[in-house]
Amino acid sequence: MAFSRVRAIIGPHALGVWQPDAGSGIAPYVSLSAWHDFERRETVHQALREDREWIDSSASLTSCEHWIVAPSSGAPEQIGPTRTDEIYEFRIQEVANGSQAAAGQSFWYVISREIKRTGGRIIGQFDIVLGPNRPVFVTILAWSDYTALHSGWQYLDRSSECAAQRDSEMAELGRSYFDRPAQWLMRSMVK
Amino acid sequence: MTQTVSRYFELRLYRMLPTRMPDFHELLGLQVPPLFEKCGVSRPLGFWQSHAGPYAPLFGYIMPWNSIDDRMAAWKKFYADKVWQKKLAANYAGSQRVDRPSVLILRPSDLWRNYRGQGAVVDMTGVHEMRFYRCTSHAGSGELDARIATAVDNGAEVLGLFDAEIGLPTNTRVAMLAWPDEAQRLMTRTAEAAAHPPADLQTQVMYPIPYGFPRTGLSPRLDDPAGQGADIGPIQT
Repeated sequence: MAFSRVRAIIGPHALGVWQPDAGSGIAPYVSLSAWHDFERRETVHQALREDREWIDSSASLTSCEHWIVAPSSGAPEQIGPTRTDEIYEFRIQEVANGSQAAAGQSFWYVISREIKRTGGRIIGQFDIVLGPNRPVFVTILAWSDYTALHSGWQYLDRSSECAAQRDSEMAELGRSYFDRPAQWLMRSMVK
Repeated sequence: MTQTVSRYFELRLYRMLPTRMPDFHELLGLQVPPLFEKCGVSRPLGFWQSHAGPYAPLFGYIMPWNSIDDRMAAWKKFYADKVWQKKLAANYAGSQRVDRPSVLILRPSDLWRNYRGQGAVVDMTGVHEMRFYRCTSHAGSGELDARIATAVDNGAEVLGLFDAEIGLPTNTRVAMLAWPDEAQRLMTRTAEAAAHPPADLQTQVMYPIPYGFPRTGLSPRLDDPAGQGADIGPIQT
């Protein structure tokens, strides 16, 4: 299996590997790695590119996409632990240009608190540093199951704090900081 | 002239809001170059504007790097520069100019070596074309090479051929071509369609902007046997 070879080579740099259950344009897997510098990343990726087992096992992969992300404003630097018995929700949202920092603060101080109240966990919130159509906000949430995810977002739809934040953004920009999210529901492949 | 090729190329594509392009010319053409130099940001190798293609209206430029770490440090210094922050605030003048910026990291493609020596001097009088090919597999390289060869046979000059590293699907190849004029480009599209099977291709017609930078072209250095070196220094003239 191709992804196991990725894990073997990327090793300690891999923070998580997920496989989607639902979402648009479903990819075989998503992985998140942490790097101290790009030279190290380049060395590891070069080893992967030259690895015969990876080349053979990845023949069926048509492509993958690399984005460089950084923890967004107000977010903790370390992502939370992942488990195989949770549902992970990836949300990728374009942000109003010029509002990247404000969007990060809005998520961390308002939306994430409401998510936690419902029992959801914030695994990480990031800004895309290198990639297309910036600014883009990426969040990884964890829910105990689909029912918790569904009731969590129902709760957020009724949240007066979220409504007040949205009203404030409308007054400031005439729109929300966040565009509609591309969303994937995933399971962790790391035990 | 000796030419070298860098390990990475940063392609910055700004999808502009209507009417704001002139502001960007003033900023990028006149005000920013001294700041780039001061902060260690690589000198751009080419600037373009485009009103035809998926990114239009587009302002774009490309710059070489030998290290992404150096790139990150230089841009961090640039964004923190007080002069830049002041210029940015003044240039915005209370309204937004850029709709969405894309920052893409590319690598020189193996295929580029087949066209070494081409594009050594960017032709500022013609029309340029940025092509995004989605290859279905590694075998797609041969198909792409044949397509580029057809374009060259019909008057195109290869400014650069790149593989996606960050920000695009990894099976994407980016070709930068220079044409004598738009008529030649269109005529060749017909020839290409007749000679090759349909391709997953996006094309952006670009007009080079003569900002007065010393032009070097983008092509691999001629004395590098591999066609693309590892750590071979900045582009030189």
